[in-house]
Amino acid sequence: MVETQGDLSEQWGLIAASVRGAKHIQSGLPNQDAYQYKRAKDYLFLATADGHGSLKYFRSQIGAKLAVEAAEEVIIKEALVDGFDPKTLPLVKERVKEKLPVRIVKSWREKVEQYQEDNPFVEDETALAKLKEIETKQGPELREQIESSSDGYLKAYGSTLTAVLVTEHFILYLQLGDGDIVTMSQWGEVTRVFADDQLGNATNSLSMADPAPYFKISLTSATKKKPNLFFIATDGYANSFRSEEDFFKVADDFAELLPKQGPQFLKDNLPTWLKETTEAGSGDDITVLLAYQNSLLTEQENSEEFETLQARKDD
Amino acid sequence: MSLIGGELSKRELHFFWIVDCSGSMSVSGKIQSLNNAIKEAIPEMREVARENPNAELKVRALKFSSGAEWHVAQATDIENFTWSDLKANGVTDLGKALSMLAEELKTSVMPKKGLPPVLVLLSDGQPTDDFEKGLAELESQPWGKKAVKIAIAIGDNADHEVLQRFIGNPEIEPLQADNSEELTAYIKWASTEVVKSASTGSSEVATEQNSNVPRPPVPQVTADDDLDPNIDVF
Repeated sequence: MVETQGDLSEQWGLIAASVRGAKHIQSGLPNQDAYQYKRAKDYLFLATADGHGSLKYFRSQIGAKLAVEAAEEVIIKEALVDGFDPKTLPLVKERVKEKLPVRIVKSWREKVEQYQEDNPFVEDETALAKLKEIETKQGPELREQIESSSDGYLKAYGSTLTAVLVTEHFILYLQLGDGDIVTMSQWGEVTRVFADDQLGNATNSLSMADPAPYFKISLTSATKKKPNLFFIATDGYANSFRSEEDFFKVADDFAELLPKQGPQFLKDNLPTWLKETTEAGSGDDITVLLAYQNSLLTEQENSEEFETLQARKDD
Repeated sequence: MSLIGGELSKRELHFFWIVDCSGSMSVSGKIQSLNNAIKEAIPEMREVARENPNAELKVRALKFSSGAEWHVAQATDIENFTWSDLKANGVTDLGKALSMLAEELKTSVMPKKGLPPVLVLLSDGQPTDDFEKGLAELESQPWGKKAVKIAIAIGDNADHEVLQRFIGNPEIEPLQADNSEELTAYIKWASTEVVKSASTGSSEVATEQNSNVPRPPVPQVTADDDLDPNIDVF
């Protein structure tokens, strides 16, 4: 196994896919998920966001797109201050915990404000139709609140956010609201980074009055706890499976298919699999970003060589 | 290989009728109006379920009078759900019913990835047992808190304060049914429009009041009780 030390863009492979939910197709809603990734020499960044689906969040697909953009800008800028130098770990932890959520929220709000300024509701026929529908179904007060209160428009852009940054020394996991980050260790153990404590449809959101305290953050050593693969997904994926075990089997299947069939096979088939999954499962939009260590691709080869040698020896 | 991961599943939506069968429900045809209304609502519930193929609507019914008992104990797919008429007799042990409901809403029993359950309480009187205990047990369950709760007061003597506390949200008031037409309209609304709203699974921001599922507009019933002899006035 040859590993290029220090060049993360060569160490990690990435596969991404996002499909519109079966229920969204039925009801004419767009895909309200967004994702973004960036692979550089000294970091790997991935993010997904899930715009809320209810009527009042009628610009949530924009909110989700702006969320992954804000996350990328803020997280990478923070990481590049000192490359998350391990010598400064306590300071890094403090900085990440205290500053990142606040800065991401600030950046998201600025982006939304700019978008709103460039695309006011009054000049957007779709927005006006949605506001009218809100007035009819949920009362004029809600319409008034979204349209006229100082930052009421933020509600229309409500979105979750999930992001991961891998550097040479650390891996940063960050999440606000529903969604999943699932890792597979070098020993094949599959776990969630954050406990799944969501019940029902209510979720934390960037459009809350003060979302920063609700961010979940984990910073782990990339040398001691580097997973073989991990994936982040919007909640439409986990909600499509009968049980947690059924959902975790996704990681097992990725790990089995990558060396056997190669990344291109997964890239080609993932959108179809996700489409079938939303149809038979939750009906929600599904977005999956998979990151795997390229060394995984050669392990099968090595293992087959070993088995052949063993067979010869046994003969 | 056609898919990755294990077994796929639609999201389950558990719907509970919680029905007062105390003796006073036999007065003015209340219990029969209720039986008729639920029977009429079933085909419409099936239609709602068919319109949303990504949700599995499962229905149960709990009755309370002197004690409480499951009328339909098994969570039954709406396609196979039938209603046998309830009879009214005894007192109003609502507390016991809520305790039994709380048992069924435990996270160890309910699907974790399910849609928020819908609880529809119908009552014409005041609890005769320990309502506080039952309510506390219901609210101690995460799904008890997150459930969509609808309460329908039947006639003049229903205890609105109790029903309001069951709902647990000051912005949503119990519905007042003063005659069989209103009762039918509210029962149909709860079992179709509310189910439709709950079964979308659309995300809502957690900290907003009444945020789990938006409540659809309540039907406006304009019955002329004096003229229509087919309407029972409660």
